[in-house]
Amino acid sequence: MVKGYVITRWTEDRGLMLQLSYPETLSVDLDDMMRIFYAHITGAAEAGNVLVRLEKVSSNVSSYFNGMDAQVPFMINLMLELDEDPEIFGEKVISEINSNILSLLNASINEPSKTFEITEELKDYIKNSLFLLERLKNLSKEQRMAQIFTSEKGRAILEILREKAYSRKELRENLEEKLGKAIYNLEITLDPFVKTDLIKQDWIEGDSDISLFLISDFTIMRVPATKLIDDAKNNLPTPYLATQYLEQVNSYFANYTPTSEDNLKIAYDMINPDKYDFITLFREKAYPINKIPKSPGETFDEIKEMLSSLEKDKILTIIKDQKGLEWIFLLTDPTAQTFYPEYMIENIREKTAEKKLKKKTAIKYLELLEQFYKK
Amino acid sequence: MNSKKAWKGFMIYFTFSLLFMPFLILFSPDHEIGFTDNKIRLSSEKFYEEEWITNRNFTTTDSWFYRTGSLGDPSDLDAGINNGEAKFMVLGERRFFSGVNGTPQNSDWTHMKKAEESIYPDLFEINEHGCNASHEYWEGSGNNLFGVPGNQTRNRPSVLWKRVIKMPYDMNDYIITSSDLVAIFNGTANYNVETPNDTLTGTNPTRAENDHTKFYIQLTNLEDKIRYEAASYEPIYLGNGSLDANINYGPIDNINDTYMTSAPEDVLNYFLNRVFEYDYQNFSVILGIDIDCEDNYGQTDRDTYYSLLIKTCNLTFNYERKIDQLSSIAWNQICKKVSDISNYSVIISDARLNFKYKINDTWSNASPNSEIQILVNDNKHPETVKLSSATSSFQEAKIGGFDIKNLITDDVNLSLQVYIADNFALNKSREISIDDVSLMLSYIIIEPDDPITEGEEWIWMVYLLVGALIGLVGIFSLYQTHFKYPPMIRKVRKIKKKIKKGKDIKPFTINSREEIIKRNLEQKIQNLDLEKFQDKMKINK
Repeated sequence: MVKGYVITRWTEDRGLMLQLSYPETLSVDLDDMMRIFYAHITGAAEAGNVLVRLEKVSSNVSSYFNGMDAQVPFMINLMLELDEDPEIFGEKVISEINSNILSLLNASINEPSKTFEITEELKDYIKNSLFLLERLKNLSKEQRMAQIFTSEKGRAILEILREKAYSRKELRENLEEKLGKAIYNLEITLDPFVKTDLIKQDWIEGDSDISLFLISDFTIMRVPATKLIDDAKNNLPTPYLATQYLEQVNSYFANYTPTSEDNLKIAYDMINPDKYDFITLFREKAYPINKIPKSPGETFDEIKEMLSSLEKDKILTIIKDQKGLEWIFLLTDPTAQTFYPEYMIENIREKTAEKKLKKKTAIKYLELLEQFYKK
Repeated sequence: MNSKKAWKGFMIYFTFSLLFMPFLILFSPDHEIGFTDNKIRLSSEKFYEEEWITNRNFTTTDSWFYRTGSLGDPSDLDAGINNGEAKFMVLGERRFFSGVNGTPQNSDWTHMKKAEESIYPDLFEINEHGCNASHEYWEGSGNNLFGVPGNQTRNRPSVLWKRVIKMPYDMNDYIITSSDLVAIFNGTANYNVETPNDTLTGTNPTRAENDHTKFYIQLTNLEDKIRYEAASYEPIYLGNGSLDANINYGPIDNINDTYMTSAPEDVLNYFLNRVFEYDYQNFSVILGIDIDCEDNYGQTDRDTYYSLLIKTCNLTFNYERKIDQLSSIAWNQICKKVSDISNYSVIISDARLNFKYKINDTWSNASPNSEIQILVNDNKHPETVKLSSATSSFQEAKIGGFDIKNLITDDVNLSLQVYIADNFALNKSREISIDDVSLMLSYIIIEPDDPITEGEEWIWMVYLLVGALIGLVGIFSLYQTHFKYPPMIRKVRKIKKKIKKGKDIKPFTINSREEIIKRNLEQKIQNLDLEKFQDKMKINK
C-alpha cells in the first residue's frame, strides 16, 4: 500500500525543511530526507528522480527534486512499501503527479496571500492521487498491457524481444543502449510482462543467467463493440438509435487503419482508471445521459468532462433519439489484442543459422512456443 | 496437403495392421505361447514390512554417493560424510577490500585527460599531500603566475588520475554487500576568482555560472564503457570576495579539508556490482578535478587557483560469495529393486521415508525458499523441508514420515537434495547434516497356488487381439504425435527436430507481425457482418 507523500524544501539558511506530509500521521525522519537529498545532489544537483531504499522505516522512496537552480528547491517524496516500485504505476503517472504538485507548491510561493487555500487544494490533490495510485496497482490484464504500451521502456523491451531470446543481462545492456540511460530494476520492469503472460523466463542449462522468451505478443487497437452491435442489429435500444449507431460504426471502420499515434492515444485512455470504468460500462450497453451510473462523490460535470474527452478520442459517440435525449454509445472498443508470435519461428530459424542464437536456446524457445500455442 | 497425405498413409497402415497382423504372427515359425485352460485360480497374499535403506546412519561412506546438479553454480555446494552424518555444505564467505586508502601515491595513479580534446591545468602532480592541480586563467599577453603564456581559450582545464585495481578473486562469484567511500579535498584561490556573492567591478561585467571547480571520484570498468560518479563536490564559493578587475591579485581565500558528498551506500554497492559485470577481476578508480573559468569582463580576466588538492580517498567494501539460484547437491542411494523380492507380483502398500536434519548456524534470511527435496527415481516428492526450519540439533523431517508410495516403481533410487531457490549473498558457510535415513516399505506378495502351464486353445483369438491392439496403438501413436496438433505446432516441431540434428533449414513463409494484426482486425470487423448491414441500409434508402 502506498504510504503517502512527504514534501521538503531546501533553504540556504536553515537547510532541509518539511513542507508538508500527507497523511499527516506519516512519520518523517529528516535524517532520512537528508539521505535522499544527498542522492539528488551527488552529481550535477539537477532536477530529476531517484529511488532510495530506507531500511530503517521499511520504505522505498520515489523522489523528485526540481534542482538547486529552482526558485525554491523542492523534493517531492512518494513513500512506498519496501516491495513496491514506482514502475508499477507506469512511466508517466508519477511524473504527472509530481509536476502538478510542483505547480501548486510554486503557486503558493508566488501568491503568499493564498497559501492556505492552495495548501488545502494540494492536500486534496494528494489525497486523490494516492487513491489513483492504489487503483493503478489493481489493473486488469488488458490495462497492464496498455501500461506496457504507453511506456517507452516497455515498448523497447517488446521490440528487443521480438528479435530473439535474450538473457536478462543482455536485455538490460540492449535497453540501456536503446534508451541511453541506466536500467536499475529490470525485474520490476519485467513484472507486468510476466503477469500478462507475454514473456516466460527460463533457465538454459549451462547459462549463468536466466533467459527471456516472448511467447505472446499484443497490440492496442480499436475493434467494434460486439455486444452493442448485436443489440443494435436487434433494434436496441430503439430502432432509430440502432440504425444511427450502426451507420456511425460502419462509417468509422470502413476507413479505420490502426496507427501508432492513435494506438498510443487509446492506450492512455485505457490506463486511466476512471475512463476505463466508463469503457467497460459502455461495452455492455448504451445509456441515456441522465441514466449513467456514477460513483459516490462524482459530479455530473466531472462525468461530462470525462465523456467529452472519450468522445473527442472517438471512443464514445453521442446520439440523440427522436425526443432529443442524448444516448452514449461505445463507437470503438479500445482493446489489447494478444496474438501468437508465429513470426518468431522464422526469426529463430534465421538467428540460429546466423549463429546469433545458441542451439540450446533455440530449442528451448521452440519448446515454449509449442507449449504456449494459442489458436 | 501434407496432412492429407499423412492421414491417407496412416489409414492404410491401420487397415493393414488390423487385417494381416494376426496372420503374420500366426504363421511365424516360433509361435508356441498358449494356456491349457482359462480357469481362474486361487492365489495367496503375504504381507511384509522391510527397511529399504542400507547404511542408514552413515557409519561408513558405503551405499551413498553425492552428485551436484548441473544448473546454477555447482561450486557453491559440497558434500561429505563424517562423524556418522551426511553433510551438505553451502559455501559462503565474506571478504573485505581496502585497496584504495589514504593519500594517493604517485606510483599507483596515472594521470589522463578528461577527453581527447580537453586541456590539462597549468600544473598538476601527485605530491606528498595528494593529487594537486594549479591553474591561472589569464587572457592578457605575457606569462601567467605559473609561467604559461596568456591564452583566452585555456578556461576549462581538467585532470584525472586513474588507478586500475585487480581483485584477488573472480567477482562473478561475489556480491558487494556494503561499501564506503570517503574522500577529502581542500583548495586555495585568489579573490580574483568570480564567485556567486562577488560584486563585479570592471568593463562590461557578465556572469552566468561564475568561476568554479569540481572534485569528483568515478568508478569505471577497464574499457571506460561505463563511468559512475561515486562522490563529488563543487566548492562554488572558493575565491569568495570581490576584487576590481583592474587589480591582478587580492587576498587569498581557501576551503579547508572537506568531505566530498558520496553516493548512498546502496547506490555505491550498485555501481561496484555493475562495474564488475563488465570485468569480473578489474575495475578503475578515477580522481578528477575540473576547473571552469568564466570570462567575466570585456577587459582581460584573471582567475587564480593556487591549489586544488584531493587529499585522501578511502574506498572500502565487503563482498560476499554469491550463491546461485537452482544450484543443488544430493546424497543418493540406489536401493534394491522391488522385483528383486520375488518372482511373483509384489504390491507396495506403503512407503514411509523419514530422516533427521540439522544446521550448524541459522540459515540466511536472504534465501527463504531453499529446501531439502526428496526425489525417488528423479521424480520429486511435493513435500519439502525448508532450510530455514533447521535448528542446531537434529529433528525429524516429518513426524510420521513422508508417504512416497506413489513414487516407487520397480527401481528405488533415493535422493535427498539440498536445493538453492534464490540468488543471494552468503557471508559464511553453512553445514546441513542428515542422519537416520529410513525408508520403510510395506508390501504384499501375491503367490498363485498352482504353477502356470502352457497350452494351445483359443490361440487365434489372442493373435487377433494382439494384432488389433498393435493397430490401435499405431493409430493412437500417430494421432498423439502428429495429427492431434495444429499445423503451426507441427511446423515448430519440424524446425526443432532439424535444429537438434544440426541440419540446414530453408526459410519458410510465415505471417509477419503486421499481417497477423491486419488479419485479426479484419476478422473482428468481418464477424460483425457490417457489410451486410450496409447493403440493407442502401435498400432501405
